[in-house]
This record gives sequence, structure tokens and C-alpha cells, in this order.
Amino acid sequence: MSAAKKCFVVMPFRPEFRYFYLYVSAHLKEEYGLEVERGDDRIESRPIAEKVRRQIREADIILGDVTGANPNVFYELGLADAMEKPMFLLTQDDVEKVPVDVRALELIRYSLDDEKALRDKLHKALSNFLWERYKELYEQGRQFLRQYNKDTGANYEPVCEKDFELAMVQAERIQSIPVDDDDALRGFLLPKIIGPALLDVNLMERMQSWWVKTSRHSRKMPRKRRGMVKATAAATPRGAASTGRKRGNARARRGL
Amino acid sequence: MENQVAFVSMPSADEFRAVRAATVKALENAGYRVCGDWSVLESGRPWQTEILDALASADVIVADVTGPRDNVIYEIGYAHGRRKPVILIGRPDSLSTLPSYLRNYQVLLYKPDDFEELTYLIYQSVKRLTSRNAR
Repeated sequence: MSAAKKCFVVMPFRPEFRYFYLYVSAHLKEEYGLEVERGDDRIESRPIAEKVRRQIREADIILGDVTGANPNVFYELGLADAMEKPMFLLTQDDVEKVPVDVRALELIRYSLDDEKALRDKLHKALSNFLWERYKELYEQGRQFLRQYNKDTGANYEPVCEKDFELAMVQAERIQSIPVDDDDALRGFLLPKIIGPALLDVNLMERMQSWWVKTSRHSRKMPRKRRGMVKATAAATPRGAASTGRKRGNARARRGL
Repeated sequence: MENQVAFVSMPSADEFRAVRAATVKALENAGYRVCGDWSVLESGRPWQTEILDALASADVIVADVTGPRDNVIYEIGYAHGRRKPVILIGRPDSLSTLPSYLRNYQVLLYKPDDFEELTYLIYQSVKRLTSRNAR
């Protein structure tokens, strides 16, 4: 799983869309941590068609603008559909003007003079998409927290789905989710599922030592190193940076 | 060998009825079964699902780029995304409106009132494909 999700934007290359593209790509990057790309504006030769095909294949999500029914846009959307990519479509036109082939897809009508409405609609569409990815992790995080509560007699509540999603989006800008390492995943998810409560340094320490104690290789770990894990966690308050460290140490331990 | 399947992507307007008939004839003569036609579609399923399923099951696609119509271009993109061979046909003026992605593909041109040559050209093209696949 790469660090940032890729969004490929399919849009006409007319100059009036240039600014809109810049705006949308900046927005998607800032708000959702997406890496945004679009095809080259000179598609005259085979290699560029191949490049666009590759960009679409590598994308996690497609955002298309079907305003003004541009044939190149429909071609790219057809490609993306064949590759079974999730697609969101924008249009400034009436829905009746949109071709039947794409009318069944999620269609967001917008107008250039209502920025807020566009952002709201985009948010609705994108958070459903992002949530699909985080749902399972949220469940896992809750399980870890239950385990922690059970082991230590604590009684912490998980954050709501929305806050969890936000924490995940922020974290994913910096690192990838360690899905294939259970210990690392636990260390990654716990701070996100417990949220602001972790600002309490004592809790953080307790949680940290619990994590170390319950990790697979903890017994083999030399004393000195265990101390180091604690120290780094205490030095970096919460969120991605501290879990990143933990992950590093988990790796180092496995190497022992 | 089992019948190969062809999909015809064409605007549904009346003015294309004759060229559709000519295309279907050429394909059937070449041993293809034509799917994706209005008359062959199953009823009670969403239009889009039906079309895209038909496209995905086809061995060759014949698409008319006259206009061009958005649906046709979308279907060509879909077919290319699935790496299907697409034979483009169109009236002579379709060359000037061809989307840039399709500019390096050959278009079999036809006159709006004479389809004999077109029937022959399509027949030849798909026959070449069949023999290439058989090899």
C-alpha cells in the first residue's frame, strides 16, 4: 500500500478548466492527502495514450469532469471503467446532457460560483470512498482498544468514525499503513482510535509499555532497547510520528 | 470453432439504421454473432450494465465515429481498456472530428448512401482478425 492514494483527473484541456483543475487538485491534496494527476494536454501520439493508460491503471480513484461533453474525456472514462476504477463525475451541465453510459455513475453537479457547494458534495462522495477503505481498520482498532482495556482495567472509548478517518488521512500523508505486521498495525491504530485522550502523557506511557509487553518479540528484546522505545514515544506526543518510530523498532527487533 | 462475438457501437438515431444493418450483415457473413444490438438486449436490466457486459464478452468491436457520439467514444475507450480490437468506421467528415486519442487508428470510411464497399471492408478486417486469433 503506497503512502498517498492516487487520484487521476479526467478533464477537458481547454484553458478555462486549467484554473479549475489547479483548484480541485490543491483541494484534494490538502483535504484528503490524495496525490492528483491528469493526462498530458497534448495527446497526439501513441506513447502519450500509453502514458494515460498507465496513469489510469495506477490510480486508486478517478475524478472526471464531463462538462461540455468532450470526446477525449469520454474515451478516458471508458478506459477507467474497463479497468474497474471507482469514478466520480463532475458536471456543470444538466444531467440530461450527460450520455447514458455514464449517467448511472455518481454525478456531482456544480457551478463555478458556488465553491462551498462543490466542496460539500465532493466531501460526501470522497468520504464514502475513503471510509470503505478505513472501515475494516476502524473495527480492528476498536478490537485493539478493547484488548487494551481488558488487559489494563482501563475504560477508554474509541473516537467516532469521522475523527478516525481524519486521523488516518493525516497519517497516510506521512507513512503507509503497516497492514501486514500485526504488532506494527496495533501500534499504528491505537493512537488513532483513542484520539485526544492520548494527549495524557501517562496514558501514552502505559499504552506504550502494554504494547511492548504484548508484542510478539518483546521477550527477546534487550532492556536497553525497550527503554529507547519508551523514550521516543514520550518525546513525540501523538499520531503518526510516534507510531512511525514504533514501527521502526518493531522492524529492528525482528532483525535481532 | 465456436461462433465469435462482435459488438456494434453506433448511434441509435434512425439515420444510422442502414449502416448498422450493413455492418451486422458483414459481421454475420464473416461468421460472427452480433451482440449489443437493441433487439438482442435482455430486458429488465440497467442499460449500462447490459451494454458493458456485451462489450466485455465481445471478441471484436465495430464502432461508428461519425459525429462523434459520446456513448460511442466511451464504449471505444472501454473496449481499449479491455484490450479488445476495435474497428472504426465513419463518414468521410468524421476524420476531422476524431478525438485525438483515436487519430492513429485507421477509419474505414463509407458514403452515407453506399454500403457495399463498407460491408466488404468490415468483412475483410474481421476475417483477418479471425485468422490471426486462430493461429
